[in-house]
Amino acid sequence: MRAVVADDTLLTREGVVALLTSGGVDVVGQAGDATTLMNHVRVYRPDVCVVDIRMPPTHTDEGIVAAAAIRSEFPDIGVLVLSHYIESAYALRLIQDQPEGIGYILKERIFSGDVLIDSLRRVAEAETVVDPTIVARLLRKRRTDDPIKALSEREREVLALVAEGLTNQGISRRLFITDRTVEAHVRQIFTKLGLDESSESNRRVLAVLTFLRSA
Amino acid sequence: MQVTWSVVVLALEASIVWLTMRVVAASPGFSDMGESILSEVALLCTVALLACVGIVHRLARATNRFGWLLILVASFLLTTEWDIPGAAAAGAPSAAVFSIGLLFTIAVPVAATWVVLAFPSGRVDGLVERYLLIAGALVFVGALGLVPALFSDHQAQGCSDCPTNLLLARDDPDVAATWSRPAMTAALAWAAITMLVLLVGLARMSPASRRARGAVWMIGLVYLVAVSAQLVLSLDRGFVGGSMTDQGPWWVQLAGLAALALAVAFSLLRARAMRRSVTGLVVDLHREAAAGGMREALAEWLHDPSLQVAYPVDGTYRDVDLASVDVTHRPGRATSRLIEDGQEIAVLVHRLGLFDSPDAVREVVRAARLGLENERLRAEGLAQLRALADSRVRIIEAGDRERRRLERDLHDGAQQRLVGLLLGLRLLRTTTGEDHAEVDDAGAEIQAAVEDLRELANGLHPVVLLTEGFAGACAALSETMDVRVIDAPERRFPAVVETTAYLLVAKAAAAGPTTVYAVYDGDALRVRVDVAAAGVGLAGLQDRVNALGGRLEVLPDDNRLRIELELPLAAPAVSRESSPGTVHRGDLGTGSD
Repeated sequence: MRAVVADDTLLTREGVVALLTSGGVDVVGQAGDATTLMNHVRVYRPDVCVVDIRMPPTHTDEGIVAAAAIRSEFPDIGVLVLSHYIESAYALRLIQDQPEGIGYILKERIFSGDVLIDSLRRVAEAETVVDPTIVARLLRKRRTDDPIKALSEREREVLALVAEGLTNQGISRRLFITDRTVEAHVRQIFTKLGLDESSESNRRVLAVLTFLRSA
Repeated sequence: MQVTWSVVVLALEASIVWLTMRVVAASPGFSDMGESILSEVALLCTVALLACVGIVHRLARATNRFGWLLILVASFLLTTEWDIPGAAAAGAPSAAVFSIGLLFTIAVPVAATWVVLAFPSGRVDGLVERYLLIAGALVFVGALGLVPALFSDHQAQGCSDCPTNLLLARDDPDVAATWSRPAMTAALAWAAITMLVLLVGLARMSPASRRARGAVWMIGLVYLVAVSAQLVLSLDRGFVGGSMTDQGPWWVQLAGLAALALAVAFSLLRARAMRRSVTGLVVDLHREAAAGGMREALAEWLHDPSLQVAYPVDGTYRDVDLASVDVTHRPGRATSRLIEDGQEIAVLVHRLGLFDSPDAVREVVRAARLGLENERLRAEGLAQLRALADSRVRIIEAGDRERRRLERDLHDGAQQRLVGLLLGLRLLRTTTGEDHAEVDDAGAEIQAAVEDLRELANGLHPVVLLTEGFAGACAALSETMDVRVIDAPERRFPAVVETTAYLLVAKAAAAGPTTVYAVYDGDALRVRVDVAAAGVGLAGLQDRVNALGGRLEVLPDDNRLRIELELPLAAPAVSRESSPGTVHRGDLGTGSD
């Protein structure tokens, strides 16, 4: 897997590169800003990009803007955004046009387990990755007539994993249950929440996140 | 003081009238007005009219000498009668009275011309006019009054009743006789030149000046025609006649003088009406609708609808509402500076040829000074208020920027270092290939620190407010706090407006469960916040809202609070940068053109 890493802080960038290299990822290019990133992407045509959300000049959401630019020019290249913010708005902005092969995780997650390599792999396989912290926050959000309360505990677990972008297969592996059970749970959840259950696995992330944000 | 003075003048004038009446009564046959009761009444009425208008003018315009000139004409009309034998009736000063009568026997025309040329300021500014008046005095008082008096001993020539001629130098009737004709010719020539000057002046007068003094000059012209007619008739005769000899011209002259007095009185009344309407404007000025009323009033008064009134404010020229006014010379436009006591109170931008003399401009200043000063002060006050409002907004914006900078420093400084540290630990674990509980604990601590820093940075100035705006920031807030957003406009607003509205929601959310309802109606962002709390700390927010020209209202409702916030989108203050049309005071051309 060939990757380009973009982060304006040299220390973190080198750390990320080292981490990726030790995980067997071939880092073909490093960039300190969005313009260099775009040039590297055009030249090296990597499989994935790891992009810091804060880059010059405004140090706000340049990473998301850059991700959108990459996706519009090269829809096949996966982008994983490393973020400082637990903001569902940014995650949704990132995935709403094309949820396949894009991810949004908090930067400090790179410490735990193989989150970075796993997320990158999922993105490279055209899955969607949404940070669990954001999903947990959305699930905790207070609502009047909260429809989430109508779900069983297991259903809530499944809903969270759906929102994180996992496929049925991924969910079954994570919860140690069969694919068929996951399917049944998902169908049940979608009926209870009044969502369109026909959504395919990537699109359903969008549907669930949008539902959780607006409900 | 003014009143005492006018009583003295009135008494003096009355005594001159009384003296004249006695003189005339003593020798009615020699007098101009003694001939008929009608001419006597007419002359006295004219004298009274001139004197009264003169005194009223003095009272109305304390700094203007014009009133004196009218009183002078009235007095000369009377002294004309003193060169007759009846002067003896004056008693002890009869010789002096008789001599004055001889000297000023035909001084009225030059005095009346002085009145015409000096109207309305009391000053004669033109050099030509000044020389004309000096020449007139030499001819009418010198050649026609003094010279005959020097060489005529009336008593020796058979007027035994006549008092002594104090001016007599040598009795020589021949000198007086040969002198009289050239003197009259000179007087006639002077009258002709004066008429020519008046005619040319009338033709070249600007509309504003014509309105101000055209009538007076026309009357002057008619009067001088009558004087000339009398002089022509007198040429053959050898002496200047009066009401008996030249009835027509005499009556026309008298009517002209009366008309002159009336025209002056009328101009006083008109200026008074203008001042009254200006006073009305000044009184009305505290009402918003009356702002700019001076422009309307002056435009109407000067018959120039395109008139602009600009006030000097902070070195630039602005109208009463602080819009900048172009006072540079443009084709078809002229500017006149209105100056009072050396201070410029306003600049008029008007069509060409509206004013042709400093006098016409002074007239405007005189009539409208109070109103113009008032509007200028209003504009100055407004400018100061806006500057103050500007600086308040700038201070708030600077504070916001500073918080934003702190947020950025936390994210890009401390937080990045902590993330770097995490990465280092992670790499350490990977390279050693062993699991150390201590390393994991340290990692968890650092993660917690990153979490804390994020909270701190978010509290300083949430980045989501910067990128997603007010609605996005409220939605983000609703994920972590008990905030329900019923409605919030998705569009973006100026950063300072968004920050202020967001601060209200954040402060309310910190106090208790909050419901947010926000709308944008084209001029203002209105936010209504219902919070289930007894109190919300809003002191700092109130200052922000005031600075932005907004409104913040807290309405307690049982255990809840309803807070209403209104933030106008139009910047509360005008830009202080000079626009291209603004001209600095030094750049302005001088005077009217």
